[in-house]
Amino acid sequence: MSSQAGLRAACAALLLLTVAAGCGGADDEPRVAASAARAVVPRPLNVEDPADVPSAGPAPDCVPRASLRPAGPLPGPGRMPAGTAMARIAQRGRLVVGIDQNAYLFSYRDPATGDLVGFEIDIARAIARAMFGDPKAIEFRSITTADRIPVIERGEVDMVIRTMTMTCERWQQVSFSTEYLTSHQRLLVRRGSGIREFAHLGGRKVCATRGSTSIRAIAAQPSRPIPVSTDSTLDCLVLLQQGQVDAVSTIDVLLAGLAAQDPTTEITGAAVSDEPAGVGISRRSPELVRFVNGVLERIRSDGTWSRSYQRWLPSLGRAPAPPAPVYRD
Amino acid sequence: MRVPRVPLKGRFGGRIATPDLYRLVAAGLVMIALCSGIAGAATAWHRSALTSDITDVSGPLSVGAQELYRSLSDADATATNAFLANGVEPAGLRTRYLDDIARATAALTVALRSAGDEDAARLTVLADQLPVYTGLVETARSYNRLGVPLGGAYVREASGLMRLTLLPAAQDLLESAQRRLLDAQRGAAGLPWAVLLAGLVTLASLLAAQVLVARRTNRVFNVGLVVASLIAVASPAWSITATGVASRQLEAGRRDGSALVALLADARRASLQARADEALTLIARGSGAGFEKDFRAALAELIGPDGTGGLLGRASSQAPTEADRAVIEAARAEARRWSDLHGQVRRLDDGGDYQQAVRMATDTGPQSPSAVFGRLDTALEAALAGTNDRVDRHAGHAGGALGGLGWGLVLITLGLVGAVIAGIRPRIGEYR
Repeated sequence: MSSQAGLRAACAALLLLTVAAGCGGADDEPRVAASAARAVVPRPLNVEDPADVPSAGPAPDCVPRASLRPAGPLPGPGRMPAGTAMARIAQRGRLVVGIDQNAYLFSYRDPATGDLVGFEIDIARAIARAMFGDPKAIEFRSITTADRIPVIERGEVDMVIRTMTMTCERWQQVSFSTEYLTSHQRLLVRRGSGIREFAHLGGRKVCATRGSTSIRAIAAQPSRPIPVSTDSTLDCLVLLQQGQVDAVSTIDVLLAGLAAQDPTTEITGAAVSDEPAGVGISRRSPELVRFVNGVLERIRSDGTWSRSYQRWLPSLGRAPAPPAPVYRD
Repeated sequence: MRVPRVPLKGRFGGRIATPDLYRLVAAGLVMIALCSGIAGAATAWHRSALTSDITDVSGPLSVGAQELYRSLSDADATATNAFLANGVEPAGLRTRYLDDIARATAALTVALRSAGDEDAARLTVLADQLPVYTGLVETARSYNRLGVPLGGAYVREASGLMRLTLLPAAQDLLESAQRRLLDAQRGAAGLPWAVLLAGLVTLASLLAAQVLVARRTNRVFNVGLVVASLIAVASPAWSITATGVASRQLEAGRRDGSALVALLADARRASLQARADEALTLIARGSGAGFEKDFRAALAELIGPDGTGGLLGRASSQAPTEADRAVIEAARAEARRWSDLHGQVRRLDDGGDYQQAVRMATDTGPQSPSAVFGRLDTALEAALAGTNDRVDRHAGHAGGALGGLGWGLVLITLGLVGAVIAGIRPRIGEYR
């Protein structure tokens, strides 16, 4: 019996065993070639691509611009008629307004001061001034486009001032003040992209906010662009800058706000819609609608409207005359 | 010389001659001794490798993963808070953010060195997306300085990338590192049954061989085999003592170390998440109810709904020393104070005084939410550092106890084989 040979074999086995146990054979794993790696572009939160666009529900024929006539002269600040929505708001001590905090020039947070400023904020302040004599007696609630009607219906805000287009369909759910700004849906594209019209955007991605009239208009274009929806129009500009969409399409006044933040973009294309913007108010408070219309009458006539337009929207050209009010009664 | 007949049948039915029988016995004993030796040494080396894995790889990996998660989460909370501050962000917040990114990158580099396949995939996500994240934050800063709201959109995109992609990958990495550590601790602890059994078989066969040889030779003791038997007793005795000591150390490391680390790391995650939620609640301006719910949930996870339980409550009751408990209790007190302060911020915001709420949230005085959170984070960091050290220390002690056992068992086995051969060879020689 060669026990020495046996021992040698055993030692060799032992050695092999330890080598196997210690090293685990990590050297022959395939490595991913670095040249195969590709960038993954991030996205803003809540982007839908392609967007799920609900079809327009049946709506009765109406004059979308027609609102309720003011009930005589405005009551003075602090003297709201008892039992009205205005009296309840006065009781609370502040007006609660649903706004956007990302719409440059319309209603946005000024990064330098943290204050909300813009054309629509001026309108909200005018309403607060008429009610309290204090333009600062406001609590702003930032809301998404899709939340505009729900927050009014749930009574979480007294009114929404957020470039809300007056349509017959929406009149079924909420009331509107008279028109405070006229606009038309157009396109924002990268300069030099060669895109001029919706006709150039067949099969390409076009961005607008969820729950807006704009996203429906995009989906309805005969060239069949792909609608992409976001929570905020500003997120559409981020997507355009990052090359994730080919155009942004919403009302021209909002597009002007986007173009002002990025000079490499431009507004183009024919107007594909007529979009009157009004203050959204609950259907249960017609007296508040009449009150707001009274305030709008006043700022149209005393030059407040024109001064505000000139201050915030000079990029849209010389201030036009304020939109003439249309009343239904 | 009288040749006794063996009461054993050979393979071919004939009786086996005594010298052949001795050869068979010797060969059998050598085989059994070698098998037993291999089993013992392999177990010793395996356990030794596992304990050094704890001190050299899985322990540091776990600490690195904790650091990575903390840095990323803190970077997110800091960048978000910096945005909330008006104008150009405060220098302190900027430095804190940059330090967080530097630490995250360093932790990432260390983790990449020792990661397995699955972890490598997670680390790839992190290595891939971290530069994208910092790019978004810098874009946000530039637009913020231009005074346009586009900066805010980039902050939100960056925060979304961090919360939906980077932090989950870092969290998976942390959990995987913890699992690896626990597996190593479990694998290297416990009674080595195979070694014990092999030792008993060796001893039993040695005794049987002695009985056989004694009957054939009429000598009561065969010195070689007796020495072999003594060696065969010593070997499992050493193995069991050494692995027993190591097991107790590792078990202590698991109970007082890793289990507590898991709780504390989870507590830190919850507190960082709440910190980011607090800023997001204000940034959302009136539509941050979802973030507020998240904040409350994270804080409830941290200290329980009534401030007495939660992760920190459990950590406190599991803390092995008074010093540990004191640090954890300090963290708990700060968390409760933070909860109160946050309530005040919410009351201001819900009452319509947004600017005052933001001022309070971004204040940096000693009683501000930022300072209270800072102290909470520091306390958790201290508790984690002490506990991570304990894991490492116990693993070091375990490694010390197992040190030399493997090679010792090889030597013992060689001695045993030598003794068997020395004992039986002269007996075979008698038949020449």
